[in-house]
Amino acid sequence: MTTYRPSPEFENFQPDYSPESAGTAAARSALAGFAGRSDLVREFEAAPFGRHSAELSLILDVMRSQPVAGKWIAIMTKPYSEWRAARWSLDLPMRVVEIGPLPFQSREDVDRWVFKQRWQHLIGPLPMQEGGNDV
Amino acid sequence: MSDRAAILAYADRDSVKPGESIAFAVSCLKLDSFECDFVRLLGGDFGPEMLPFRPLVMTAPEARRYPGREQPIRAGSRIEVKGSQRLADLRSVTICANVMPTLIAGQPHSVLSTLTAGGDGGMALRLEADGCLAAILGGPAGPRTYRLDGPLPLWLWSFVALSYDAERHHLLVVTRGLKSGTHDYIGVSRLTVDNVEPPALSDGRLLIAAERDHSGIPHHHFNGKIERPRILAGALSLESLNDLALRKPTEPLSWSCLGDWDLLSDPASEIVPDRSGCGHDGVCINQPTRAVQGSNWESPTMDWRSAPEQYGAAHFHHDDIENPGWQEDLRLTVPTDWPSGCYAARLRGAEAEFFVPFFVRKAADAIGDVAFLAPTATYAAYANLTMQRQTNEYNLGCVASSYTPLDLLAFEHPGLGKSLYDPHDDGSERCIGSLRRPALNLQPGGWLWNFQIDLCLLGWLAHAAPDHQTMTDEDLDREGLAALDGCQVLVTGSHPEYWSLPMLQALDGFLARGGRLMYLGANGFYWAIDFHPARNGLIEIRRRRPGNGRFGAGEAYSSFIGRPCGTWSDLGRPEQSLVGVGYLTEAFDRSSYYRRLEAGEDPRARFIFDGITEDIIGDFGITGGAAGLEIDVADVGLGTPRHALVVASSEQHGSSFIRTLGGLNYFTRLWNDAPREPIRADMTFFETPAGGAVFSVGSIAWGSCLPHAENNNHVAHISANVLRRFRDPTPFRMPE
Repeated sequence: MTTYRPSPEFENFQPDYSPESAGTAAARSALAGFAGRSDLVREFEAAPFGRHSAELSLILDVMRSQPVAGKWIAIMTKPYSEWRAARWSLDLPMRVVEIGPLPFQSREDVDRWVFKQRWQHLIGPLPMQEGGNDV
Repeated sequence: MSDRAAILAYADRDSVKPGESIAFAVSCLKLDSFECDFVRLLGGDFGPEMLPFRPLVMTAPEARRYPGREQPIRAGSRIEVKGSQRLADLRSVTICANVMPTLIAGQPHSVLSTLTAGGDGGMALRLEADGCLAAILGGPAGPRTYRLDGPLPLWLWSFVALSYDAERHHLLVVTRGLKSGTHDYIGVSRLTVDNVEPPALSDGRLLIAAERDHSGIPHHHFNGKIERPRILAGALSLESLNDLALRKPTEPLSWSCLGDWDLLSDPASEIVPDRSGCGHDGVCINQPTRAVQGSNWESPTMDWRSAPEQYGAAHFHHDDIENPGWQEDLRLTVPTDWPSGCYAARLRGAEAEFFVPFFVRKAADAIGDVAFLAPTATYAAYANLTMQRQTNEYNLGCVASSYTPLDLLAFEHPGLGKSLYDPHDDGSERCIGSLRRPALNLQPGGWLWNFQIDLCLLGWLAHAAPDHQTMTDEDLDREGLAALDGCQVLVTGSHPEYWSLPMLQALDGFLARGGRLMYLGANGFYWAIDFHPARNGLIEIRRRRPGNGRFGAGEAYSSFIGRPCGTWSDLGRPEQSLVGVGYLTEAFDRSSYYRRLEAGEDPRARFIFDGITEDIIGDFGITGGAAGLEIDVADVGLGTPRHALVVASSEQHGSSFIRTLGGLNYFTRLWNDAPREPIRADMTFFETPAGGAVFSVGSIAWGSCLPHAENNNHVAHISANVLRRFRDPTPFRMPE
């Protein structure tokens, strides 16, 4: 995976930018009530792409609405057969600073993994254990 | 920097006729040579579920191994003046301009400079890394800096000047705020220094919006607007400078000038005329945005041609790029026996591979009654899309936005420039899109989107109409209706979104003479752009986005031609009135399928489903279905002909499709479950009064399904049915 080295023209580029907007705290507050909702995690795991309940849609809406910096993204490392999760830097210009631990065989799987990261970022610990049982 | 080898390249044109030549410039990273061959593209590498990627290798004597070397990327817009002996020895002088800086970010930004490489001669007026104005005087001991305290305000206009009296050895550095449509404090800051030794002679070369580094390479690019940069042949007093600051930028001066650059005159030209009479004309490099609001712009002026005195500025960016300025590595003369189509120079070395696509026109004596219009204006708009703008990421509809390793090279080499969907680093909209640079997302692989889906369309056309011809948007723009002579069926790409007025007029003429249009995509005919009148592969748009206040509000007309930009719908030509359907919404997670409707049984439309008995269409494919990504619907209120038949509509789209109304993004998907008209794509057909017809699928994903089961599927069958009937010269009849 590539790492970033700016060309001379772009060195020391330091714009003011906050990776967490004032809305991030509000987002956490709005989503706090979902902390124990393992059913919503399961709903997403069952169908990352598709028709979602209003509550899951709200969570996804808030997740997508957050600033891009520091977010996990997907990189298709082999055409439509292998994906890795990767993470944007917090500072600008954004570049990939971290690669997720495992390759995934489908886009749905990488979205499932990223969803859990964002859940932990905005809501808190996952309400279910690795095997699927509620915490 | 990656340890991997990489190849980046671009061509000098996108469209070439048999017998003509096309040149390629290549930069090799960690490679000392590369293998080049030429392939015809009829698909791409889209993974195990799709047809294997087998580009047709063409025979050409130019296909061989070439020596490779890294070529530096020279980004950043500026004006270069060849210079003269008079500019080398400025003596008593005043250098001044109106400026609106838009980004400092810890970098010096030069307004005007005659500094030599190394700074041992010449002068410069620049903003230092903290945004404070400074005069720089070059000398054998290195450049001397005389700076004001207090940074210039961003996004507001200021008059800036240095005045040097060579006889009294007196230096004056001045900023004066200019009215910028706000109630901000307007004051004067000045620095006077005595006993300042004169600068050493320079070589007479001059840069506006940049200066030369130790190697003579332009750097310290200015981010922001510059208006009426001047060099006056004498040292003005503070009183005279105040007088000059308050004058309109177009007002004639009583002082003699060595350079007085007129940035408005013919903004499409690369030449910036010097009105001083000294012949110091400049040359624009890397396309600064011209015809932008100047310091004396007044609301509600929109058209620079009607009030040119208000548009005397240019907006420079360190991340502007037309082309990286690379040297040509190889030149292909296209053999006359290559059929019209999409080709690429395939460049390979070690594990690196890079394709430079181009389109070959039909031979003069070929038939070509079916033409594929390659949407190169849209390719120019999307070239090197990075999707780091939050609203764009939101609209993808996925939790994780997706990239390929090649996409990430755009971050490793930011000088390559990004797409028109990525803002400049100063936050301003990109207005000029160029294909004269490496395009990381115009590859026969990666995400099935836009160019990649168009390759699927071309693969299908190679089966359905082997003698078809291809042409580009720019061909249609330049040649007009004549480009379509002999053509009976025009097939669009999957996302023909950007259209110039000459292109639309050609299409109007084509339909008016009975032509048939297959619109095999969606969100087309949407944005109004202009092609550059002389330089190829360059488009310009003024998006006219609301919400930026005064900035950009009056920049509604292109600098290339002077036509109004924005959406064609806002300009009174909604796409529904042309092709029956228009943009509804988008999401990039999973696509869905169509269900045939009763109108599909109408005798007028029965040919569309000839041989198809199922009601469900396109419930397969690598994106999940034939209806998705971006989708269009019919809307009589916006111009869908009243006799149009919606023969099928998609259904069961996911919750991620946003709901838009009148172009407004409501920024929520929550009301996907509220009662309303369903999210859908409308497959639409109608006849035209001239005996022609239009068939629109209303979905970008349509083409991605064509290769499924080796082109043996309902999406391909429907496309072939329509193509067959559209090639039949029997006129269509309008219904009673």
